[in-house]
This record gives sequence, C-alpha cells and structure tokens, in this order.
Amino acid sequence: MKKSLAVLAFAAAGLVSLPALADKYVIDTAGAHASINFSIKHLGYSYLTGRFNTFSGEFTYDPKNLEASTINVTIDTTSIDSNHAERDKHLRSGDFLNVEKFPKATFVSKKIVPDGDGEFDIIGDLTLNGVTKSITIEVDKVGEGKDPWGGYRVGFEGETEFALKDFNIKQDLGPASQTVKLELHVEGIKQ
Amino acid sequence: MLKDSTAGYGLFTILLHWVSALLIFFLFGLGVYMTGLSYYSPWYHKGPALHISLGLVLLLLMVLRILWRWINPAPRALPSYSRATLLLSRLVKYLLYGLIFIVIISGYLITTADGKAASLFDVIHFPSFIQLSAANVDRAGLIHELLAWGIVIVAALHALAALIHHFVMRDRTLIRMLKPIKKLSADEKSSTDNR
Repeated sequence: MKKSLAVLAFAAAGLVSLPALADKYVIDTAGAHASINFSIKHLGYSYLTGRFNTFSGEFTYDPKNLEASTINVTIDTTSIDSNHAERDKHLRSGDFLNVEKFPKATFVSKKIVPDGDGEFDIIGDLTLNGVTKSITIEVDKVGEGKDPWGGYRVGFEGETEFALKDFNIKQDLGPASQTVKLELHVEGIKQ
Repeated sequence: MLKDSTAGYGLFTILLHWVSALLIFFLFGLGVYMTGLSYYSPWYHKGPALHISLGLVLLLLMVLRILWRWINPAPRALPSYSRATLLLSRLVKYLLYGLIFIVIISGYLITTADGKAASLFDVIHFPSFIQLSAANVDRAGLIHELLAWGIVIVAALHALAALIHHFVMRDRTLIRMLKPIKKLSADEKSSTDNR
C-alpha cells in the first residue's frame, strides 16, 4: 500500500511539474490560406502592391500564455510577384532583392509583447538580402476554431514597415519610397 | 536590279543587309544604355519600349530576309575563294542567323512572360505564347545579353573579313554587298559553278 501510494505520489508530482506546451501550428500554404503582401509608394502618387507567392512557416500559440508563442517563416524571394514581368525581373536582380545570392528571406520571432485586446507585437529577426535586423510586427488575431474537415485553425493579420536601406537594398526609388509596408495574413492548422 | 542572281545580290538584299546591320548595332547600344539607367531617368520606360519595338521590326525583317533568300537564286561564291573561306563564311552566316533569332526570341519571351503582348510601336501586338517562370525569365535575360555580345563580336569579325577581302585580297566580296548587280552578261551566265 505504501509503495503504490509513493508511486502514485511521484506520478502526480511528475504530471504537475510538466510545463504547459503551446500548441504547434503549420501555416496553411498548401491551401494558400496565408499571404505575404507588400506595398510601397510609387513616386508618391499611389501604392504599388505585390506579394511573395512561395513561403512556408510554423508557429506555436498559447492564448493563455501569449509571450510563450513563437513563429518562424521562410520566404522564397524569387517568388516575388507584382503582376509585371519586367518589374519582377528587375526586383529579382542585384538592384533590389539579389535573389541569385539570397534566394531565401527568413523571420524568426524573439519576443512577444501583448498589447491588450488580443493584439500583440512580435519582435523578431528579419533576414532579407543577406542582412539580419530586428523588426516589430503588429498582430491581431482574427479568429480560431474547428474546421469542417477535422482540423483546428487559428488566423492572424499582421503589419510591419521598414526602410529598404536598412536591408542594403541599393536602388533608391525616391524620397516617397524609402520604406515598404508588409501586410501579412496567416492561418495555421494545429498539428 | 532588285532581285538576286547567281552573279550577285540585288538591291533588295543589299538594303536588307545594311538596314539590319544598323538596327542590330542600334539595338545593342540601346540595350546597354537602357539597362544602366536609374529609375528617375526620362528614358527608363521609353528606352525598353523602343528596344522592344525595334527588336520586333528586326524580327519581321529577318523573316522577310529568309523568304527573300528562299525565292531568289543564291549568288555563286567567287572562283577565288579557298575551301577555308567557303567554310568559314558559311559558318559565320549561319552563326549570325542563329544568334540573331535566339536573341530576338529570348527578348520576346521576357517581355511576354506575364501574358501581355509585345508591342511594335503600338501598331502590331505580338501575343504571348509561353509564360516563362521567374527563373526562366532570368535565364532568358542572361542568354539575351550574352548572345547579343556574341552577335556584336561575330559581326565585327564579319566586317573585318569583308575589309580583308577588299583591301588585302582585292576581290569583289565587299563590292557585291554595296553595288546591286545589273542584268547578267552572257559570259557571266555560262561561268562554271564553283561550289
């Protein structure tokens, strides 16, 4: 009796001391329920938009412990698409993204700062054009729940802005176009 | 005067030759110039548009040239040509034709890669047939640039050879591409085929 009590006690202690693991999600790029969009001013007269068609990523998310959440994304820079063949060719060249040398861009989160109201900031390292710098993405959860096909999903939208020069992007597009805005939409499927 | 004969080139062939040569060198220079422009240069958009239009004009001229060559008798090689000259001149001729077509087609594939037509001065539009992927557009660009240099180098050697024929060997090679033949004389018609 004492022995089995002891075993039970140890087991219970073991269970209690297990840390709560955040759920792991894979970004649903297979179903294309995520997008990485950019917009930048054109001459100061309008916004030129485009996107990166090919990327992948995963994140961990714990609504009760947001700070423990993490995300990492890898972007295929050759997949840049601004709906214009010659422009995309120019963007892939050494004047801009230099995709031959840097075919991938990555983002790795380092810290989550809750902002109240379910919103939060993700601070992490963006590596683009071979340069790694810290950026902050403002994130809003859109919703979460079961899907009709046996899965569980959660989705977010995010926004960030940074200067082209910070990432060594050489071409100067004029005073109105020094920064580019990224608009991110992400839906992950719980693993 | 207009058509070719076995004795030499007619006016049409001669004009086609020199107009093409001019076009090709202008296109090359424009290509080098326009790819070095900054986004804020006034020629940043005009340059490529002109380059594409003239490239399409060259395409039409090349097709015309091949058709014209097909329906005309080919001038005989000069009796003084050695076997080496015959071989080399034929090699260079086919090389130039090949390089020019590859450069034109690679350029066309770049500009039509997203499905939009290639415009010849907004008068004729050449539709998109193949939408190359991003990687292939970049490859086409490399081919386009490298082979364009190839054309310029081979054309320069071609011009040098013409000058050698004219000033060193002192034969009629260069003159044949400058003066159109008139009516064939009786003994020219009966001279033996050197090929």
